[in-house]
Amino acid sequence: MIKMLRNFLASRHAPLTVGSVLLAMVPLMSRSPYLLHLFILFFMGVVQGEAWNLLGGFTGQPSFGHAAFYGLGAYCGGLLFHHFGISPWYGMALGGIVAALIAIPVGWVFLRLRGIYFALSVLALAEVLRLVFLNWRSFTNGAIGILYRFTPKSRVLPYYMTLAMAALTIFIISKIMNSKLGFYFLAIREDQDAADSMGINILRYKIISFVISAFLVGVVGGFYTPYMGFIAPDIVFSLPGVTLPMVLMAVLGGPGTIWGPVIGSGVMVAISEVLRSYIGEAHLLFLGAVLIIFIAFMPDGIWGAVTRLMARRKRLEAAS
Amino acid sequence: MKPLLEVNGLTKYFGGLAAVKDVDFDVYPGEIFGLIGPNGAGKTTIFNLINGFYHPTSGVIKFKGRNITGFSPHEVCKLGIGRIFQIVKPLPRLTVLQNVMVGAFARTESADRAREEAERQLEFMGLLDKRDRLAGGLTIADKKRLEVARALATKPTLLLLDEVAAGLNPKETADMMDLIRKIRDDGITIIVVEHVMRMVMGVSHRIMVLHHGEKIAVGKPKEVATDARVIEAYLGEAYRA
Repeated sequence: MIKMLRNFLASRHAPLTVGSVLLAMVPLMSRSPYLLHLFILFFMGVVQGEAWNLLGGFTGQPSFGHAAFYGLGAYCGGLLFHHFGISPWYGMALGGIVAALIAIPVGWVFLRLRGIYFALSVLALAEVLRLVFLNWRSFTNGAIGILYRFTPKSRVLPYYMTLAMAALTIFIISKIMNSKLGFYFLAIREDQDAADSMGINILRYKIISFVISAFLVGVVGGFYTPYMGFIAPDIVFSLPGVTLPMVLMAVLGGPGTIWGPVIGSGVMVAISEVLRSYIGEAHLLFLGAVLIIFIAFMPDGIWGAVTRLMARRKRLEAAS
Repeated sequence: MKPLLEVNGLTKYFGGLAAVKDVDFDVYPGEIFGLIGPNGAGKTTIFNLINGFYHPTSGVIKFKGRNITGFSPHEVCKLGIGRIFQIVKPLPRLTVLQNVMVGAFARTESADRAREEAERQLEFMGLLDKRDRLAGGLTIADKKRLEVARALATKPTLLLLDEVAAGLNPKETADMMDLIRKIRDDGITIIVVEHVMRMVMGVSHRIMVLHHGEKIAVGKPKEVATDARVIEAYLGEAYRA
């Protein structure tokens, strides 16, 4: 029994399982809506950060327009409710699927561009979608947005939903990164020409990464609508409000690592909540500055810096 | 014997400049085929044309009797042509083992099998003890070995080696020559592009000489070395005596 436990703790899945079980107990101890809400934002951030990181961190294709998929996901449920009175909760699955389907042709075109040109082309997509949803009033209700008054009374169910989503996302992405698919993503990030000459169809694998990433973000967008109860184009397709935090979670935490976005999301939720109460919307300005500082001085993020320090300590211990 | 690689009328223009002009050659199974010529003669361009990075302006490339002209690099690799680069392209933030595993994945879906294959190739290239190092931190000599291991892991029948001896000291060059012969003995046909004369003269069965994108001679190393046009174009005054 003890041996089994020890084996388990040494295994790769231990941190995820232990973390999930501990977090699953939080609602048993406190039902404070504010506390649960913060955790829900954290879990949503984990999924988004991991999704962005799969494409931007592991595959080396940073996107500045992931709000496009978040907004599409959010509007799936919103439009279902607005036009047909169908519960927007169905928008979660649908949002993921629609985001993934849109990502295929978009990726097929945009992913031929390298580096910053790809990032900016996705940014343009998000802005175009924002403007379309803003102006196509008959279909989207325009800037007035869509209101859903039946948001859940208790936050316990949304808490467990988002916790499950976050845990599942981490599980799936670590599975991917230990498989051929993950190796191919990394190879593309490191050197596209070398990857190509080792038999990797780089466009195809970039599209696969893009589609998985878009799907996950679409699902979170789909969750946002029924949970928050109000969406508008300027909220869900927002560059500073949606894309920037996603980029920050990955870059701050540690791009190209499994646990980086988890740390990033925690830090982001904490900073945003504290700052929002003091300086309101100007907190975005602060986040922008943080992003620049991290890219310049800590390009491998918090997790990267921590693992680097740990490795150095190990080396010093081994040497002494 | 049927040639493994047949190149006919291969021509590549960059703007108005012919980098490769109407070049024909065949490479036979089991051969080590040398490709030499002064800087800018079009050697690397020919590799880029075979490997699919460039598409020829005209001409035909056949591999195992199949027309592969205009195929992309990953398709060419899948068909069995491996390539190592003149300017090494390690995957710097991956470990040595991971680098070679990426190559091995060209022939398998299983991570375990890719690891086994990668370890075998690393052992062959003498890099097994550095398997957990980051590829970006290796010496030039080790990076070149890594590239060869990675290309071998894709299970090629034809290997294109672009200046594997450049930047190596005499001892490392000799080791590399031994390795090239061993690779050939394992049944892999090899084309070497090389500046280091001792190397290319030592390992090649036949050599083709390029000058300004045109083929000026092809034959056994001795024949080529005594060809008047070659001496004039490439080897220079010092070799005339």
